[in-house]
Amino acid sequence: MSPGDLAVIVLLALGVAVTWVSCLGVLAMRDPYDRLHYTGPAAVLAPVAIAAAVIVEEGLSAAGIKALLIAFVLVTTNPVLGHATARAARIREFGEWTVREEDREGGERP
Amino acid sequence: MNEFTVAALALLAGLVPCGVVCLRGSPVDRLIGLELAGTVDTLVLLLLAQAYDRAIYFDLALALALLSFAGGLVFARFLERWI
Repeated sequence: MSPGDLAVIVLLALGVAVTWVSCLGVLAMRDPYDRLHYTGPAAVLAPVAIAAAVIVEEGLSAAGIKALLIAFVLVTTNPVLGHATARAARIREFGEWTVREEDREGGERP
Repeated sequence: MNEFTVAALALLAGLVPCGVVCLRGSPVDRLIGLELAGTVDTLVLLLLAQAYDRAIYFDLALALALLSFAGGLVFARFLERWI
């Protein structure tokens, strides 16, 4: 087994493990704000690891560049989506998303 | 069956927790399950494209990444007020 093959296997295992942990974390948490944190690793670490595996296997061919592009799209869109979802959760809960007086006083999150 | 096929099959198991989250909890919880499932699906398609060794199949993963982002934004917008 060449070092390249070993690197591919290690990167793929990393990507799969990170995704599993993210999925189980989303399942285990109780409210949307906690759940949202666990979507991060699956959308940032895993695509980068898998795209790196494809590039190690193929080099910077059409396949490698497209894999890199997909990883870039996932990494850039996930924070936007997370922000929009948290905003929606907060508006549903309080009717507004801006900072409230209770938050400013250092009150407990409900 | 190479290592990319194995990784794609292993990632499919990650869809089970996403499905469970989509079946339980508040609407926002379900939306988060859907968003994570979209990410996992994109990665599965990416791995399968490499496993079958067809560069054109990567476009499918790219389209899913962009469309699940747009879909998630639309769902979030509707969940703010109307649903």
